[in-house]
Amino acid sequence: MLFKKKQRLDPITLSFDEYLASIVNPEERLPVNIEILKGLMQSIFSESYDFAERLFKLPNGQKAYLCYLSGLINKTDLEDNVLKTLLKREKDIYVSDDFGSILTITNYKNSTIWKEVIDQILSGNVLLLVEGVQPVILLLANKNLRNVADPTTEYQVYGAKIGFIEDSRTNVSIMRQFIKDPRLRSKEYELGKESKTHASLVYLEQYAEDEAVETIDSYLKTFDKDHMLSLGQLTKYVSRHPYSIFPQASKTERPDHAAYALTQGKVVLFVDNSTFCLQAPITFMDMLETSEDHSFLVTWNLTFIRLIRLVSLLVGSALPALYVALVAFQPELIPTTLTINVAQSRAQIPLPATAEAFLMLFALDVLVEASIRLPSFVGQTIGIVGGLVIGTAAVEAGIVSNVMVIVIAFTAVAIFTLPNWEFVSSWRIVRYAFVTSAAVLGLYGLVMAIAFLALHIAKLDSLNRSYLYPLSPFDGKQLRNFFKPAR
Amino acid sequence: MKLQTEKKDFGNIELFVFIYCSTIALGIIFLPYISAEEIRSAWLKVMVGVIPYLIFLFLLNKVIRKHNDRDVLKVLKDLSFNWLYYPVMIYLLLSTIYSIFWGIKSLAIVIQTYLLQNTQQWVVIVTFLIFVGISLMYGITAITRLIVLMFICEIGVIASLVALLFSQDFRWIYIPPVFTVDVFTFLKSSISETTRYAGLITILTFLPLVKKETKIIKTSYMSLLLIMIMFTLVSILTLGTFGFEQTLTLLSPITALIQTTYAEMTLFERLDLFFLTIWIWALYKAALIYFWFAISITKRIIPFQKKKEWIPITIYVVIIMIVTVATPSFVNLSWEPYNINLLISTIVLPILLFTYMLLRKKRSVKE
Amino acid sequence: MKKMSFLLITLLLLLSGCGDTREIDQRTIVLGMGIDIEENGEYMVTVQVPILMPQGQQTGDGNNNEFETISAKGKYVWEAIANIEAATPTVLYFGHLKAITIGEKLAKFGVDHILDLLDRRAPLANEVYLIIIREKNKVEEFLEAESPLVSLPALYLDRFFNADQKVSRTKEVRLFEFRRDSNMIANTALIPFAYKDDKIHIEDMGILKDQKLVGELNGHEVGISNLLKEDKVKNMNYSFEVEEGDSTIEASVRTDLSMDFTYEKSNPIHINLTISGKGELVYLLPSKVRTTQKTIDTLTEVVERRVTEDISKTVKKMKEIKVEPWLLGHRIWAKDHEYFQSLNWNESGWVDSIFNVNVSIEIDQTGQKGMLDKKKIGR
Repeated sequence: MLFKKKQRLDPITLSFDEYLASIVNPEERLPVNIEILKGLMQSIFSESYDFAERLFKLPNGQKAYLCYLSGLINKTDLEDNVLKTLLKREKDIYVSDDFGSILTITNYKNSTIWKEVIDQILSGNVLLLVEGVQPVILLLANKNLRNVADPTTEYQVYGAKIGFIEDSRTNVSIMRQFIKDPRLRSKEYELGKESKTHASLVYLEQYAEDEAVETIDSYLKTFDKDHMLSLGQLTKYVSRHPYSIFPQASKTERPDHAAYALTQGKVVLFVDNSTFCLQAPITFMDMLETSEDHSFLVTWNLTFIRLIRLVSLLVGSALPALYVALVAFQPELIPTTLTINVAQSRAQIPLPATAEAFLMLFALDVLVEASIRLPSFVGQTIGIVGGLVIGTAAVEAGIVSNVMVIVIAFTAVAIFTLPNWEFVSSWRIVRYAFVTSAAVLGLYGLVMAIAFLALHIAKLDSLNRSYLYPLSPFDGKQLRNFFKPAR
Repeated sequence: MKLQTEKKDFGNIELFVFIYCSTIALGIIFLPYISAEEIRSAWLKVMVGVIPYLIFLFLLNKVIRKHNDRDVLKVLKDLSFNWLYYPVMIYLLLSTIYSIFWGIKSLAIVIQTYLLQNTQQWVVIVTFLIFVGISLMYGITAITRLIVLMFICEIGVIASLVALLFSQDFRWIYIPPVFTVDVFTFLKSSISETTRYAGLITILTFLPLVKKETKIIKTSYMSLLLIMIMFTLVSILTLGTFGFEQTLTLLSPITALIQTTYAEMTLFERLDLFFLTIWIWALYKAALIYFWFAISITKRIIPFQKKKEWIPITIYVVIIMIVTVATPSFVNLSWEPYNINLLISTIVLPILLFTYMLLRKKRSVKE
Repeated sequence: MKKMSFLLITLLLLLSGCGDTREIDQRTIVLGMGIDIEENGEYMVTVQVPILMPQGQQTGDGNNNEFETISAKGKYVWEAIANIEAATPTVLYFGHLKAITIGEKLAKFGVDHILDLLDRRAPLANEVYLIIIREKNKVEEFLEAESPLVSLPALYLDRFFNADQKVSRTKEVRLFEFRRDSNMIANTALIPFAYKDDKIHIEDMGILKDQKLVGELNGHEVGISNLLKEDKVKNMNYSFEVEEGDSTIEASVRTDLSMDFTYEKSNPIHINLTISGKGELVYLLPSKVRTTQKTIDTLTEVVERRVTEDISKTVKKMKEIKVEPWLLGHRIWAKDHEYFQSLNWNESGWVDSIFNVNVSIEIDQTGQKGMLDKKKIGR
C-alpha cells in the first residue's frame, strides 16, 4: 500500500489514459489517412518489438495497412481469410461494409474512437485500414489458451476429470455444459482500471438469492483498483470481513464443484487468467462437504464421511491445545495408566509441554509448506526426511516426547481430511491460538478460546448470509439433509 | 448447504434459546441448595419456583396484546411519567449489574475450586471479562447466533444427564417428598428457588428484535418449562446419588455427581472437568446476555449511536472488573440480599408495572 | 476492536508464567496413600508413587520395582504430608489417587478429620477407594506389597474393585459413598478390610459408626450386608454336605439374590424381608448322581436355610453393637417420617425390631454337560 501511494504522487508515471492522451485524443475517431495512422500507431507502440504492421497495395491499387500485436493473433486466419481474400478479390472498397463480402472471417467491426481501438489491439485484434475507408477491427484474437484438461490441484476420486482453464468465457461455456438451463445467468465485468481483467458472474436464477446476486454485483461494479491479477485479491474485495481468518468465499477449479454450488444457490465468479472460480456465499458447513460426496452409491457413506470430517475438524484444531492443557494443568483428566506413560515419556524432555507443542506445530507447518510447491519427486524426499527427523530422531534425541509426536501427527492427518485447502490453512492458524490460550490458563483458557472463536464465526457473513447456517439460524431440515440427503 | 431457505431475523428458536441461556447457567451449578437454610425436597421447590415467572409471562403477553407493541419498556415510557420511568430503568440497570457481579464471582469460585487452584482470582476474572467485553462488541446478532450454536452442542449434555438416573449409585429412597415443615415455610423457602429463573427479565429488550410471526408466549413457556425440567432433573439426580445431608454441603453437587458417576464409563478419568467447560460456556453466554441487557437499558436511559456502543461496554466491564476483584472471595458473601434484590427487580417490580400498563388505557392513535 | 485484541494479547503474555502450569513430569503422582496413627499420637502418612523411567531405558535385570513408598510422621496429617513433600523432588499431586488405606487403629480412633482434609483437595476425585488395613500389617508395609499380577499395589486395588465380581466377599467403598452413608440417619458406613501375608487379601468389611470403627462383617455376612443394603447381591457361594436318602452328597451352589423390603407399622417394628434368587449348581459329588428334581429340591432347601441363618446371624450381630448399616431405617424415615420418629430408631427401634425373613431360591442352572446316567444296552 505504501509504495502504491508513492507511485501515485510521482508526476512522471502516467496512467494509461494519460499516456494515450499525450499522443492522441482518446475520444477522437481514427484518421483514414494511412500515413498519419501509421505514424501515430508507431509512436503509441514505440519500442515494442511484438508490435507488427504491414503496408501493402490491393490489386486495384488501393493502399492498405494492418497492425497488431504479433503474439496475440491467429496468424493463419489473418493469412487465409484476410490477406489472401483481400489480394485476390479485385473489388473496390468504398465503405467499410464492403469488407463483409470480401473477408471470410467470422467477425469484424467498425472502429470507433482511439481508446477503444487501442484496447482492441491490446486484446489481440487486428486493425485494418484501407485507404479512404473507415478503419475496421478484425476480431482475430487468439489468446494463449490451454486445452481443457484435468484439474491439477484438486484431486478427486469420483468427480469429472475436467478442470477450468484461464479463460473466463470458456469456463462459462463449460458451466453451460453442466447445467443446461436458460435460467443460468451470466453477467460480465471488466475489473481493474488498467489490467481490464474480464470476469463473469454466473448464477442460477430462482436458486440463488437475489440479495446475494445484488450484493456481489454491487461489489464488482465498484471495483476501483488498478489491477486485478489474482482471484485472492478479488475474494478479499467481495468479503465483508477481509481480516477474518476464515475465507468467506471458496475457490475451485473443478466444474462439477462449481455446478453443484450453482444448484445450491451460490453464485460463481470466473476471472480471466485464473483456473479457479470463486463460489459465494459459503457457510461453515461447506468446509465439510464436497460435491463428490454425492457420488457414493450408499447414503451412509456420505453421512459417515461428513461425521468423520466434523470430528477431524475438532481433533485437528484442538488436540494439541488439549494435550497442553491436560499435561501442564489438569493431568487428573487423563486415565491413570496413560498419565504414568505420558509422565514417563516426558521424564527426560527438557522442554515444557507448551514449547514442545509449538515446536512440533511449527515443524509440521514448515514441512507442509516446504513440500507443497516442490516437484513430486523432491516433495517425497522432503516428506520422508522430515517425517524421519521429526518423528523418530527428535524422540530419540530426547527433544520431544513420543506422545507429542503422536498428537501432532494425528492432528496433521486429521485436518487434511477437510476438502478445502483454504479452510485447512485457517484452522492451522487457529491451532496456534488454541495452544497459546491453553498454555496460559489450561482447560479454562482453551474453553474461553473456543467460545470466542465460535463467536467470531457467528459474526461472519458471506454475502449477507450467516456463516453458521444451518446451525444458526437453525434449520433442522437442512442440517439433516447435510448428514443424510433426501433421495 | 442450500441457502434459499435461510431466515434473517430472530425467530422462535432464537427466542427459546435466548431464554434458556439467560437462565440456566447460574441455576444449575449450585443446584439444589444455595441458601443457608434448606428443606429436604428441593426438587419440589424448584417446580413451585417457576410459577411466578409463568405469571410474569402471562401478564407480559397481555400487555403486548393490549398495546400492540412488543417493546414494553417503550410502552411504559409512553404511558408513565419520567419520574417513574427513569428510576425504574436505573434500578433495573443496577440490579442487572449486581447479577453480573454475582455470576462472575460464582465463576471465580468454581474455577478456583475445580480447575485452577493456584491461580489468583483476579486472573480468572479479568480474562473472562476481557473476553466478554470484546465479544460484546460483535453485537447481538452474533451473540444470538452463538447461543443457538452452543445450545445445539449442549443438547448432548442434557440428554446424557438422563442416563445418570440409571446409574447404580442412584437411589429413589432419597427422593420422596418430605414435608417436615408447614406449607408457609415451604413457600417461603421456595421463594429463593424462584430467583433461579430470574434471567427471564432479559427478554424485555430482546422481544422487540424478534420477528413478527414469532409465537412469543408459547416459545417462552416451553423454554421456561425446559429450564424447570433441567433444574428438577439435576436436583433429583444429586439428591438421589448423594442424599440430602451430603448434597447440602457440596459446593456444586452436579459437578461432584458427574465426577462420581461417569468416571467408569468413559475414556477420561474425570468427566466433571469437561462438564465444567460446558458450564463455563453457559456462563459466558449468560454474561453476554446480561451485559447486552444492561447496555440496551442504558441505551434507553441515555440514547447513543451504535458505533459509540464500546463506551458503555468498556465502562461496565471495567466497573465489574474492579468490583469483583476488590471484593473478598465468595464464601464471605451472603446470598440473601442478592436473592431479595433479584426477586424485587425481576418479579415484583415487573408484575406491578405490567398491571399498571394493563390498567391504563391504550395509547392514543397518533403515536 | 483491534486495540482491545492487542490489549488482550499483551495481558495474556503478562499472565503467562504465573498460575497453575506444572508439567506432568514435575508432579509426583500419588497413586496410593496410607494413614495410620502411632502409639504417641503422631500420624504416619505413606504415599505410593510410580518411578518414572524414560521409556526404553528400563534395566533388564528383572528387578523392576516400579514404585516407591515414602513415609513421614507429623502431629497433624497435613504436617506429615508436608514432610513427605520435603522428601520428594517435585510436588505431590493427588489427582490420580486411587485408594486410601487407613490403619485399623486409626479407624477405631475416628476418620472424620482425615476425610475432611482429603475432601478439600480439589484435584482429588471423590471416587477414591477407602480400605482399612488390619492391625497385623503396618499401613506402609501394605503399600509396599508387590503383586506379580498388577505392577502397582494401588492399581491392584483399583482393578480389584473395578472388576466388581467379588461383592459377596467385600464391596468397594468410595469416598463419596462413605460420606453419604455416614450422613444418613444411622450414621453408619462400611469400609472393606485388607491385609497382606504373602499375597494381598481384600475381604470382610469394617463398620464405622460416627466415623469410628465399631465392628466388622466377615465371610457371608458381607454378602448378606450387601443384599440388605443394595437389595441385591451376586455370586454368593455356598458349599455344603447333605444327606440325601442313603448317600451323602457334596455340593456347591452359587446364588444371585434380590430382596424386597416391607415393614409393618407396629411398635416394635416388624420387618419383612422377602428374598428371592436364582442359583447355579457349580459342583456336585458324587458326580454319578443324577441331578434329579429331588436332589435339586434338597439343595434348594439347604441353601434357603443357610441364607436365612446368615441373615438372622448378621442382623443379630449388628443389633448387638447397636448399629444399622443398611439404610433400612432410612427407608422408613423417607416413607413415613412420623412413624420413624416414634420408633427412636438408633437407640431402641433397631435393636427391638423383629425380622421376618422369607427366602425362596430356584436352582435353574445345573451346568451339567455330561449325561452320566444313560444306561448301556447290549455289550
